[in-house]
Amino acid sequence: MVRRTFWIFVVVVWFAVAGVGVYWLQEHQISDLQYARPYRDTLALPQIVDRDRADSDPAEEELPQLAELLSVGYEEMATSVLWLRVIQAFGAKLQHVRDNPLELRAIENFFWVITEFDPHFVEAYRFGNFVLGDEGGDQVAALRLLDRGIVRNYKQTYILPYEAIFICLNNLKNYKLARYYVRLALRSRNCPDYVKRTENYIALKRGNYEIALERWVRDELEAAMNHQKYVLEIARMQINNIVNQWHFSIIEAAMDRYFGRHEDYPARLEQLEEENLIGSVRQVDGPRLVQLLDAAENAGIPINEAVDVIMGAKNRRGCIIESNRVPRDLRGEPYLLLDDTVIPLQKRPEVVERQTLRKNVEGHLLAIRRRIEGYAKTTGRYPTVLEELPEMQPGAREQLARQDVAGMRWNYDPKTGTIRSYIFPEL
Amino acid sequence: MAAVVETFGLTKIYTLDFLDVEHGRLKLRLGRKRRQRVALKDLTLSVEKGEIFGLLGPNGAGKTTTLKILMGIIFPTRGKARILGRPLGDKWAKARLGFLPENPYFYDYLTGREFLKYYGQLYGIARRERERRADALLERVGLRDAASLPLKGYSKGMLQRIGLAQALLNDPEIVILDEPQSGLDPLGRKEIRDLILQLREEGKTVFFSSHILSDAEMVCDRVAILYGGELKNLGKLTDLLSARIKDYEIVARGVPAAVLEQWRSRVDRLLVQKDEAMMIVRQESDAREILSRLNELGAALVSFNPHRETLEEYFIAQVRGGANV
Amino acid sequence: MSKVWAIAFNTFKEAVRNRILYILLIFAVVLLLFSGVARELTISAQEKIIRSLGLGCINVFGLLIAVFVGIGLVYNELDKKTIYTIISKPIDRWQFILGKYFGLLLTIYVNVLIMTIFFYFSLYYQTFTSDEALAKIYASYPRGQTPGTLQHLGYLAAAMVRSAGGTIKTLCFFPDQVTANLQIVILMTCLELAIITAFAILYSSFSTPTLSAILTVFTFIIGRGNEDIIRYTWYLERKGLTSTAALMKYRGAQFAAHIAPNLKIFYSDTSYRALSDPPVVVDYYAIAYAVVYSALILSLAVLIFRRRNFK
Repeated sequence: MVRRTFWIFVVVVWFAVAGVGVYWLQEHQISDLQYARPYRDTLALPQIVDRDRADSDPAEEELPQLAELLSVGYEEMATSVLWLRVIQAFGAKLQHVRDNPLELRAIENFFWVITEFDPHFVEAYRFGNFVLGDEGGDQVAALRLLDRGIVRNYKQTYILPYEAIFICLNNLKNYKLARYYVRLALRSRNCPDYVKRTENYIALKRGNYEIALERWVRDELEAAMNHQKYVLEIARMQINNIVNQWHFSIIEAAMDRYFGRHEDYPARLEQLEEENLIGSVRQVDGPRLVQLLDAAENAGIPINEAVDVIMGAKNRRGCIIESNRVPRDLRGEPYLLLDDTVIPLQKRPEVVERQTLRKNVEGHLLAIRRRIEGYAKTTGRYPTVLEELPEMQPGAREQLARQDVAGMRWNYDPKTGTIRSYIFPEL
Repeated sequence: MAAVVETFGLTKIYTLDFLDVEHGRLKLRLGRKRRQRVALKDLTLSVEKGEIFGLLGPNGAGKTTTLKILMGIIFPTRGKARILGRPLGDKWAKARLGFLPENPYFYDYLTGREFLKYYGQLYGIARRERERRADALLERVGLRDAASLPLKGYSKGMLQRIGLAQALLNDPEIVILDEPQSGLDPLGRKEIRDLILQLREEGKTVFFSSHILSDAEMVCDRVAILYGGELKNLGKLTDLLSARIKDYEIVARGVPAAVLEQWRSRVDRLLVQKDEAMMIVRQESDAREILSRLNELGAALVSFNPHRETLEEYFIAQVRGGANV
Repeated sequence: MSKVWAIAFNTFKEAVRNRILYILLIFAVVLLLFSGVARELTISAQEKIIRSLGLGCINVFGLLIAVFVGIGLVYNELDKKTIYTIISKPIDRWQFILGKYFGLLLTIYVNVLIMTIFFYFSLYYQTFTSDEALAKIYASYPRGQTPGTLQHLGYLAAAMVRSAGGTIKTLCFFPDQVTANLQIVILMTCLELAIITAFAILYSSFSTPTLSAILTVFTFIIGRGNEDIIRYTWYLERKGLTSTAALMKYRGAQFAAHIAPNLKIFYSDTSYRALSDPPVVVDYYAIAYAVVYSALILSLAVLIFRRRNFK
């Protein structure tokens, strides 16, 4: 009886000690080790990235990839397992990928192996693009991977050339290549219709305003004809945007010339016109463009003809004019010059479209008016000054605009509780 | 009578490996002679229809080899054999054979009945007939109660019996048994003997091998004696064993010691135990004389046994000189 | 032949007793159900994970069963001498071999069927509980409300029942487009297993279980890497690594690769396709190849077995 108890005691003590020991090891020793341990080993697969280079041994092209050989035909399963692995690895090492070029190479090779096993695994190319490009910072490698995917799934899916477009545009700044990818995406299967509008953005990015405008005009007319409300809205917005950007570039160039002459920026845009700094430059006659667009939408003439008419290809009475006046926006309203009286004084003042400012102010006024109503309900009177509203205080959670744009104060009447703007009195 | 099993010069020579492990030691065999092991040499015999034929010999004499060759388990190096007039391996002949190997081993997990039905399938017996025969045979070998038990739980005796059952499944003309009494207790051995005799009653031929000579002596019509792979002797028991009486064994009780001492010189053997005396004399006249003397003395006669030459003695005489029993 | 079938069925019953079979089967089922969990680990391509892991599992475990159960098949009969009473029956040796083969094949196919059932179950379950399906369910609730735990569990249970129904429907040969492709892939796997089983029987008929296992696995590996091995040796030759010893090795490797079965035809077309893609076409050449090659190997096994002396 005593012996039995003794042994039970021994067993219990042993398990307790061992358990505590294991726990301590785990918490204190191993967890430190875990993060110090390099992960590279589990990502190291036989190197195949270099195989596709042009200068490699031509006989090597026939060489079965070592990894493929090793997988003995279970490539699909290997693909899935490797795919899970790479996702987990990526999740674990979000920040480190960018820092460590060796790991980046390993991950790139990993994706190459996965896609070697299953060339039609489109998600792998996309995820690889994301990891290598956006996270890892190596856009060239990402583009290489996408190229691999495009070649192996030629015209089977639009998404790979589509993602390649953005790499070329944003990172490589290679517009010709971007347009190549656009054309490729358009010829691929399941290509949605917004892809063709990517060319418009490319044109805009290159600064070809006129081309961009023409393309958007065409798209707008098509959308109107097909009753695609969403696309119509976008097209109109983009036309507005292009016109603004075009005109901004003209105005900014003129302001730079003014600065060169006077060592200072003009206070009013009319000064540019007075000193003839605009030059005889092509610009858009906004109202004319709108008028022509409306006419074209309702007339029902073929789109190509309409576009030619609008852009002035047929005759010279399209929307493009040559003038040395300060350009105006789409509604014919002049642009505003926002002059911040903030140091540095030599900063070029911002040109804004009137409409944009108006919307901002409208929004501010709406918010402030709502707040005043609320205040009136709770306290039974209107605030004497706007600063009474708690949201006006700096550091409040929902900060209201304390001033109007351009540093103007609000036009507030404490007796009636109405607030207006000096700049846009009609609001 | 027709010969149902005939062999003509059956020879089986095993070729051993050049380099081998034997008895735990590495053995290098050089030369063709060293590499050959003769298991059976020039065996020629024939078994007549309806007789019980015993193939006798010590272990390693080649009995099992012979039976295996006949059943097609191994192939002879030289020589031929015929069963029911057909060459070895003929299916028609096999359909009329029943075979029980030594130390039979069957599929563990089948029950007795399932096992017999499976083998019935291999014979090509139709289903209803299969079931009928399976039940009948289980009854005959006395395994009806254990029919639903898996063979795993069978004792050695039961395995032997179910083996007999499967050998009789197709109602064969010839029943071939390899050491049917090995490992059985005396009751089992008796049952086997009875069965063999019964089979002869049914008109079947029984060809079995054994090294239990007493049993063989009791049932066989003819025997063949094998030793070292060679056929030493073949023939009817009555022909092989001389019918003459070798000696007489007399056991008596109550004989005075003085008389026994007197007889000691005249008898071959005298063994005294308590008040019983066993004497062995050669001549019939001597035996008669002792008997009459016992009568006179009023001693009790316990037993009187004339010994004929037994198969065992004959056998030992034949294989004298290093029998590997 | 009814005798062949008798032996086959008996072999099946015997194989089913083998414990390794159950271990492998349980392992396979666990892995298949795990694939349902694995989809949570990936951000996209869930269906691909389940599909490829599942099909891969069926293939691998079919192979393992063929190897582990098949290697001892003939050898155990000879070793335990259960074959004595079989051979003494009016039955040809080739019927015996064929019976063993079909028995083993039956075992494997039954296991493949079980694994396929679990595979379809996982697949259907994934379809019913994928993000899109769950989103639809959530959308059907009034704005702002989400289904409670009980309702969620109830939906999962319903999904399981529907998966079971889908599995039964599919396996009774009313496959929709989705599963038709998978059926064909599994059919190809079964054909490949038929060839490998023939090899297992062949090796088992003349060597010990361990050696049979090694040989069968090697045959499988060479069979799958056929073309690659040949191309690799060509490449090495072209590169100029041709010492005599190396050349002998290459020739040997090429010889082995040529006579080994070309197992690539049974899986070369199974790269991931979207389930809406047009169906995989049944490759009749592959079926014929499997049948002819198995027959060839079995004939070889029979030839070896015919004149074999059993100890």
